[in-house]
Order: sequence, then C-alpha cells, then structure tokens
Amino acid sequence: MRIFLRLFMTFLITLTVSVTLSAGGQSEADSDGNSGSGNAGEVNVYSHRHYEIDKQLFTEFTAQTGIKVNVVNADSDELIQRLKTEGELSPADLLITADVARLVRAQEEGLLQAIENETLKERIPAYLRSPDGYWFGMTKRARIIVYHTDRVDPQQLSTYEELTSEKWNGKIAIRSSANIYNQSLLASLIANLGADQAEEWAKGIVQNMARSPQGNDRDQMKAVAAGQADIAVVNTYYVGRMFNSDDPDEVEVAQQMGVFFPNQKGRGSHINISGGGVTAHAPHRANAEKLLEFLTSDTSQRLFAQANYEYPVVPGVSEAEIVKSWGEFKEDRLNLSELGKFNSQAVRIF
Amino acid sequence: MSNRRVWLLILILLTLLFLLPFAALLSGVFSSSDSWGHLSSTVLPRYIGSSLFLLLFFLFGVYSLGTVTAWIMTRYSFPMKPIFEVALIFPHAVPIYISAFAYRGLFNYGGLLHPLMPDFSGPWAAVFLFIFGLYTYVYLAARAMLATFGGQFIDTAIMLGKSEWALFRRVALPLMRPAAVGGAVLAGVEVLNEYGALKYLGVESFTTGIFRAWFSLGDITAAIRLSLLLLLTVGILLAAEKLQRGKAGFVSSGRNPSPVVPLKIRGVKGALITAVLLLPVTFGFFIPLLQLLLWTVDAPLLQQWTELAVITADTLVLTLSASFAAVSIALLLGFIPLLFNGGVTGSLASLPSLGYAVPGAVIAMGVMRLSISADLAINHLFNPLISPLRGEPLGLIFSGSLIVLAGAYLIRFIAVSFKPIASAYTSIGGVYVDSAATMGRGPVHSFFKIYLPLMKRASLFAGILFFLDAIRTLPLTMILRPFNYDTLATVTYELASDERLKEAAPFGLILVALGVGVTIITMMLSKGKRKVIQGA
Amino acid sequence: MEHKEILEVQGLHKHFAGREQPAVENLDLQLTSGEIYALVGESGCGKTTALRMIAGLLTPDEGNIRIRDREVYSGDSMIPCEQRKVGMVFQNASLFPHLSLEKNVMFGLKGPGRAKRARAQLFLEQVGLAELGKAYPHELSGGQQQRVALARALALEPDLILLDEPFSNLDIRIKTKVIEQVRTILTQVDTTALLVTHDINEAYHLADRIGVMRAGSLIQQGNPAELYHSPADSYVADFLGTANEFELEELQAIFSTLPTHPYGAVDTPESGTQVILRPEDIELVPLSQAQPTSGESVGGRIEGVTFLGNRREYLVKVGSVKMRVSTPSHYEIPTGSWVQLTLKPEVHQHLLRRVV
Repeated sequence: MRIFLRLFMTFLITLTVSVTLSAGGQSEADSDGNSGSGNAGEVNVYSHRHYEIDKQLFTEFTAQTGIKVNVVNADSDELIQRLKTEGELSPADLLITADVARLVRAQEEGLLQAIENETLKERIPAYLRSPDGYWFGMTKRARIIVYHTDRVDPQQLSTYEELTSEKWNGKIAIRSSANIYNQSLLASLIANLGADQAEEWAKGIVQNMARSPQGNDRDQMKAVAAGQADIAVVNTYYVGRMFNSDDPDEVEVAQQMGVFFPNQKGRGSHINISGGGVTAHAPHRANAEKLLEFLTSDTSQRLFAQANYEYPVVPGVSEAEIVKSWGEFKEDRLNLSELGKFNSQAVRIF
Repeated sequence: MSNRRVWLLILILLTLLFLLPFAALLSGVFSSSDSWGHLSSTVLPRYIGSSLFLLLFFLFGVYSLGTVTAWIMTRYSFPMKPIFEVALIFPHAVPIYISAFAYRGLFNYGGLLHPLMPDFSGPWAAVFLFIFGLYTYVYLAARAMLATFGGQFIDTAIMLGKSEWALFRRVALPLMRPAAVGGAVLAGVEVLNEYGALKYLGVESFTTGIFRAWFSLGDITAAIRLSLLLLLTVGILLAAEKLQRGKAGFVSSGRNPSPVVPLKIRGVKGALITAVLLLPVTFGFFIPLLQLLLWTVDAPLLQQWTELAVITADTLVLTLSASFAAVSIALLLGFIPLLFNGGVTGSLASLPSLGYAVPGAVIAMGVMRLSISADLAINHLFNPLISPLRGEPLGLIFSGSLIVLAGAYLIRFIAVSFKPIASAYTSIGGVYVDSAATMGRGPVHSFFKIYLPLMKRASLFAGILFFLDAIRTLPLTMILRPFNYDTLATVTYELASDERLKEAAPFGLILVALGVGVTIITMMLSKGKRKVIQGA
Repeated sequence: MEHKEILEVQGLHKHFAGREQPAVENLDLQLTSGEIYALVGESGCGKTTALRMIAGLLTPDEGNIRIRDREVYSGDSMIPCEQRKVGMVFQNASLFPHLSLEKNVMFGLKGPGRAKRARAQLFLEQVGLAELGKAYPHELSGGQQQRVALARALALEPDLILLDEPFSNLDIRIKTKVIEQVRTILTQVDTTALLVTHDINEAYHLADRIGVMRAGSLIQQGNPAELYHSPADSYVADFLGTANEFELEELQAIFSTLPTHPYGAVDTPESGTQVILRPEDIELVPLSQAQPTSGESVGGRIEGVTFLGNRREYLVKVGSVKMRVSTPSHYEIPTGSWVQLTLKPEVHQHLLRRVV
C-alpha cells in the first residue's frame, strides 16, 4: 500500500514537474519574445533537415545572438499539416524544408508570410527564392545521374528523357515516387514538356527500373555498386557524403560512381533547394528573419557546403572539394515556384 | 446509492475523454476530398492488395511458427529448454522497424550477408520480419492453452498408439486453435498498423497510404476515410476472432485443467528440436541484435553519448509517466463496473480499449485536432482577460506538449494495461466492495484499501506491457512531439531512414535492451504468479 | 428480555430487467431481537436477492425496510449499505487476503489504532481464534475463515447480522460443528441474525424460525417443528424432509381405522385433499413378529432399503402405493419380506394440520 502511495506521489511529482517545465518553457518564450531584455528570446523552427550541421549552426546562432533555437524535426509534409492544424496558435516561426515544392505548398496554404528583407534579397539569386519573399533558398542541389564507371560509358547518357529508352531496361535504380525529390523532378518535366509527356516518362522509368523502389539515394548507389543496376538517379550531396563517409564500404561504393549532369545541351540539370520561410503567425518574426540571414551568411553557406556537400545559394561561396571536382554545370533555370505548382499533378502521375 | 451515480459519471466522462479524439476525426469524414476519387480508383486497390498479401502470408507463417514452437516447448523437455523458455520471447523485444534496418544493413552493399542475397526489401522481406518478430503472440497464447488443457488428450492419444506427428496434428493443433487464432489476429492488427518498417522496406500498405494521403496530398478527409476503412478491416478481423473464440469458449469452459507432462528428449532428436527453436530466436533476435552491436562498436560515437543519455532519459520519463497514468486509469476503469455488477458499465469500461485497433497516425491526427480546438477555445475565452495583462495571447497550451503526447499513448495503448487489470478484477470479483460496505466503508475506501493492494502484481504487469508498447511507438510520437524533443524510437527511425545506420544503432540497441529487460521481468513475474496460485 | 422488532420488511418487491418473473414478490418479514431466522429455498428462489436488498447492496423496486427504529428503505428514501448498521458474512468469507486476521477485523472499526486492535482481539477471542490474529486468511481452514468473518461483522456491533450461505462451501464433515459454534457465538452476543441457505439442515441447526421461499414469495414460516409437521403444501413438506404423499381417500383405504371424519375437525375435508406422512410416522414390524392385526395395521412388502447410519429407510409397497418408512438402524429385513405397518398414535394429533 505504502509503495503504491509512494509510486503515486512520484507520478504526481513527475507530472507536475513536466507540466511546469513545458509551461515554463512556453512562458519563458512568451516573455522573452517581447521583453527585449538582455536575453534576446527564442525562435521556433519546424525543420525537415535533420543534419548535424544544422544543429551546429543553430548553436552558433544562439552563441552570437543569444536567441535560443527550438526545433521540431519531422517530415516536411507532417510539419505543414501541423502548421495547418495549429493555425493562428502555432508557435512555429520558421519552416525549413528540403524541397521547394513543400515551401510553395505551405505558401499556397497560407502558412507563410511575405518578408521584405533586403539582406536576403541581395544575397540569394532571384530564381532561388520566392518572388514575393515567402521563402528563401538556403542550399542548392542537383538531381543527377550516377553510373558505374566499369559498366557504363558516360557517352551513352544524355538527358532525363533518354532514361526511358530501351537500352536502360532493368538498369535504373531510383527511390520511391513518394519521395519529394522525384516528385519535383517530375514536376520540372511537366513544366518543361507538358503533363502528357511527363506521364509517358514516368511510365518509362517504372518500366526500366532494376528493382522495386526502396531506400534513399544512398541505397540506389549501393544497388549500382552491387550490380543490381547500372545507373541511378540521386541528389548530388548524397554522392559527396558517401565519398567522404566514415564507413569504408560507402567510400568504396562512391568510388565506383561516375557523376553525370543531364540535359547539359538543353535546359540544364534539374536543381532543387532546401529553404525556409517565415510562418504566417510567427510569434518571433524578427528572430526568424535573423536566423534566415544567419543561415545565408558566407560562413554558414560555406559550412553547409563543406559539411553536407550541397551547393551554396549565395554566389561566390566555394563548394566542397569533391563537389568542385565534378565541375561547373548548367542549371535548369526554371523558376522554382513552378515545381511547387506542378507538385500535386506530379504526385498523381506517379 | 446516489454516490454510485458519481462513480458512473466518472466512468462515462473517462470513456468520453478517450473517444473524443475519434469524434474529432469523424467530424471530418464527410467534408469534401480533392483526391479521394484519384485515391480510390488508382492507389486504393494497390493498398488493399498489398495489405492483403502481407496479411495472408504473414498469418499463415505466424500461425505455423507459433504453434510449432508452442508444441515443442509444451510436449518435450530437452537440455536447452530453460534457455529457450526466455529466449523465445526475446524477438518480441525488437521493434519491427529496427530489425528492418538491421536486416537491410546486413544484405546491403558491404553488409555481412550481401554475397548471399544482394537485397532485402519488398513485401517478402516484410512478411519475413513480421513472422519472426510477432510469432510470440501466437506462441504464448497457444502454449498456455495447450499446457493447461492438453494433458489428458495427449495421454489418451498416446494410449491409442498415435505417433508424435499425429499427436501434434490431430490433438494439439485443434486444441491450440482458438488461442492461436486469437494471437494471430492480434499480431495481424500489428501488421496492419505498422508504418516504419513498411516505409523503410518500400512496401505500400494502408498505413503508409494514410500518411501519403494526409501528408503528401494534404488531404485529411481522404486520410480519415482510409483510416476508417482500415478500422473496418481491423474490426472485421477482431469480430471474426471473437466469433471463433466464442465457440471455443463453449468447448473449453467446462473443461478441467490438465497439464501436459513433457516427454524427455535427448541425443539426435534433442539436437533437432534445439535447431528448430534456434530459427526464430536467431532470425527474430540474434541477427538484428548482432548487427546493432557491430554497428554500435563501429559507430563514431563520442559526441553521441551525451545525446544518447539525454534522449534515453527523456524517453524513460515520458514512457514511465504514461505507463503510470495508464495503470491508474485502467485500475479505475476496471473498478467501477464492480460497483454495478458489470453489465453495461463493463462494456463502457472496455470502450477506451478500442484505441488499440487504431493506427498511431490516426490517433495522432485526432488528438492534434482535439488539442488545437481546446487551445482555440481557451484562447477565445481568456485572451480578452489575460492578453492585456500578459501583453500577448496565451497561445498553445495543450498542443505540442508532453501531456498530449502521453495522452495519445494512453488512447493508443490503454487496452494493453486494461486487459490484465480487468481480468485480475474479474478473478477477485466485486464481493469485497459489498463486504466493505456492510462494514460501513464506501467504494473509495475499498478501492484504496482492498483492491489496490490486491492488484499490485496485475498493475505492475499492466504497466510493463504498456511501457513496452509505448516506448517503441513511432508515427504517433513523430507527429505529436514537442520542440527539441526526441525519443529513442524517433531518433532511431530518423537516422536509419537517412541510412545513417551506424549512428542509429546505439539508439536502437538501447530500445532493444530495454525491451529485453522488461521481457525478463515479465517472465519472472508470471512465474511468481504461478507459484502463488499453486501455494494458495 | 423485551421482544423488540429488529427487522421489519413489508411488501418488498424486485423485478430484474429482462426477467419474466419478479425475483422477490411482496415479501414480509419480521425478526425480533435475538432471534435467528433462516430463509430457505432452492437457488434462484429470491432469498439472496431479498438479503441483498435488506443489506442495502441492491435497490428494491417497492416496499419498506426498517432496521431497529430506522426506516432504511421506503419507496422514496434509501440509507446506503454503509450506514445501515448491518453486518454480513458471505459465502466465501470474503476475508481480505492481503490483511492479517486482526487487520481484517479492524477494517470497519473507527477510532485510535490501539482501541481498534483491542476490540479486534476481543472478538477474535469470542470466535475462539484469539491466538491467530497475526495469521493470514489463506492459512486458515474454511470453518475458521467463516468464524473470522463473523467476528469481523460482530465487531461493529451491528443491529442485524446477515448470513449469506456462509456454510455452503464447508466440508460436510465440519459443517455441523461450525454451525454449532456460530450458533453459540450468536447466542452469546445476543445478536439478531438472518440466514439465507438452500440447505434445510443448516436452518435446523441454527435457526429459531424458518421461512420457506419459492419463486420469489415466502410461502410459509414458523418454528422448525411446526413447518416439518404441518407444511403448508407438498413443496414445503418435501423441502423440510422426506415425505410420503397421499390423497386422503387413498390413505383411508389403506388404514381402515382412519375414520372418514377423523380429526375432530369441523368440516369434512374435500375429496382429493393431499395428506403427508413422514417416514417416522409409521411403525414397521416384520410379519413374523407382528401383533394380531387391528384395523390400524396393514401388510406390505419391502421393495428396497437405504442405510442412513442412524436409521434405515425402507421402501414398502402397500397395495398399489409405495411409501418410505424409517426404522432404527439395527432393523435388518431382507428385501421381498412381508411386513406389518402401523400408524403411530401421535400422528393422529398432527394429521388434521397436515392436510394440504
């Protein structure tokens, strides 16, 4: 009996403490948000990016500004739904996704607000941000083709469209259509070629798949190395990361890969951004802008590039060695908001 | 009797509280859906087909494996038996999504078993994982049935000169059937509700479909409709199970317990048996464990250790508090019907258990809608008063708080703790309430002074089972967790799905270790229980 | 000692939803101070339902219940069980398994711990288990458990003790002994008690007065001998013990000396009237030892015999009827023998009342 009472008390205390802590955390946030005293408050981030480098940058941001960064990591789709459900009460200030289509969707759902920020406008090229200031690119990546250097002659590769040709039958490794990167790639095809041709393309790719889609981009390269497929469609930074992995097996895989930028003779390779936008009901809007500015500073951009093998969005910041070694390439300069526009169409085609 | 009305009111309120999130969801079924037409014509048949495929082969496999292991462990005694007594339960301690990524790592490029088979994914891989991860449901239920009632039948059949194979097929299997089917159906519900492993293996199912409709298409109505379809499937499964159990109950109700005396097996046959039992333990437990260990040893850790400790502590605090709340509520839910001699109150008390059949994502959806509505209401009510004083609105109170996350755990898993507690109440009966009443003591007194102490063991058991389920729950936690908050499950899954397997391994390993520890405690508890009953 | 009414039940009625028959129908009961009353009947006759309503564990549909001077239930008011000052002993003793016997007895008591302990000790002594205060229920025999349960109920000095089949789970071997112990205790503390049982022997051993219930109604009550010898109908007759049942004319045909208008009654009984003879009402003598027959005797043939320890019961065929006749247990007459049956003289005094 006494044991039970004690357990019960423990439970009550735990409950009280956790309630107090969570309430305390919130009230602290609230008071900091407008007090402007020595403590500069906080900023709440909903982020799809769960990389170590992001954490480090947030810590650095706090060290520089005193603004605490609170993060919820989840899939961007889930975060958007969460924002939507929370509505005007949402504590989120900044939404960070790994794909532009999600930012556009958030914008269309009225979850983001337009920001007039000269610094951001100045630093980020126009095609990598929303024309109205709803969202801003933070890093850039290309979706490219990798091939096994022993089995494939890069001369045979040319465009995304060409991947549906007979010769790649049973040779392509690509991740699931549920993945945003593939959806955006398809959206770019819809934007460039029209829905009908894009649908044909999607069917052709399915036909040529070496195996049913699974895993992430890293997995596709492993499949190529394992001989299950000859070529794979992946994002650039995955190649960079594998090349520099702590895991010797991954390095071995990466060393067998050749990087090919498609459509260089035409519109250029499909690119995408990870980026962020200030939420419509952001309680700490100013802090959110500060964070965005910080993330597009030269230092941050370089760190993104070095640690994660992404392309910086700010011109003039240098890329990681391995990324540089692939050389310059022609980008598809399609306005990125188009990708968002055609996303739901793309989802239906897949 | 008027004070009993208060108890009834408490019961009704509690039940309503548990059902409220579902009501919040149902309210959304009939709103218009952009993508329902698209979904129902194109992908829905695919989800149904894929789920049925999984379910069919899974049920067949899990039934076979569960009954065979149950038969061997009941019928024979062999040198290694005490080890298998514990080891056969271990696979239950490995969440399916964790064994999924362990196996994938094993067969992937650079994995130990890569030369054997270059790839581990797709529906067959999923069926494999499910069978070896969930057979314990069938094994435990079937074994309990056979061990308690099988003795006289087996003895009779032996005297009639039946072979061992005939004993298994003609005597043991029919006897185990109701229990085994019951276990298989519960396991089937787990399969239908699985999200992490299936997404990871690239297998489509209802649950991944719900996520897709809700998140990718942003169509909550379609997601709710899909969930209802899934619920319907689960409901049909459970109803079918109840029907077959009803018949079996009729057969076995009047039957006296007649324990099986195991047959001693040595030599070649003993080795053979050991080999058969090694299969599920190896596939379901040792292989994933070894892979996790290898990665953990290999992992670039140092800076991860503190994170590991913090997240483990966070996870434990949350899960333990939720377990405690679950047990407390289950104790209350189970107690109230005693005051009314069961009947309608009994059914009312078991209503909250419905949550067990509902996918975590669906519950998360309902809970989130509900907590937001509550927050909105509070803001609308109090902001005019409080905002001027505070200088800003109240904002979110419940949403994104640990309380709501714990509440969602309760809704999802209360059945797990309610079941053992309710059955303990049933075996104690309501007589002590009456007897205390004739001594001038009301229900509150008898609840605290009589029933609570008597329910100690059942409560501990209930808490442990809840803990085991809650600590590994994935989609629900991902959707509802607060800022800067991770559990072992979410970290493991996120790192693994980013193919950072070595970093994910230590988190997964702790999750498995906790599961194993808890399983051993449970085993010891149920052993002790048997002794007490024999001693009494 | 004053004969004050302790329990008064009037027109008690209970009909469970979904049942065809009411469980208890228009039940009236009165128990006076110090009286032990047994409510007997087959299972399902409503006796336990009645008891639970008196205890306050069940709400009646209609009726009145008074305990001592307090109305504990009337159509519009109800005092809950906890406040009725009734003690109850249940079928399975319902001792709290996690509490020592002492703690069990202390459970309902109020006041400082020492006083409670002393009082518990006192009542454990009363039931002869003083030395077992620290023991736990599972260490006790069934009979001991029931005595503790009784002590627990008595310690609260209730106005009325309700005994709900408390002996039915006991071994036959010890049952009588336990009942007698309980009777002694109840008499010592001068408590009023209401026993519910399906076993008439328990009622005989314990009760001052017995009431027989059937299908929700009380069909007869009175002291045990009265009920045994003058049952209101054949059901009561059968319930209280072995009974040979005849139509009056049938019996008159057998025992020719029975006058057609025999019992000093005012009216001639109607034809078709049932009469009951108990096995011990008839004397049985082997023909070899038979006295010269008067009209009161009649011949019969033994068809079977049951040895019951303290007596034998012979099944005797007389003409076309069969009857059970008991003899001292040393009487041994082979089956098939012819015997002489004589109606015992004292039977005549009962016969009139025995007419059903």
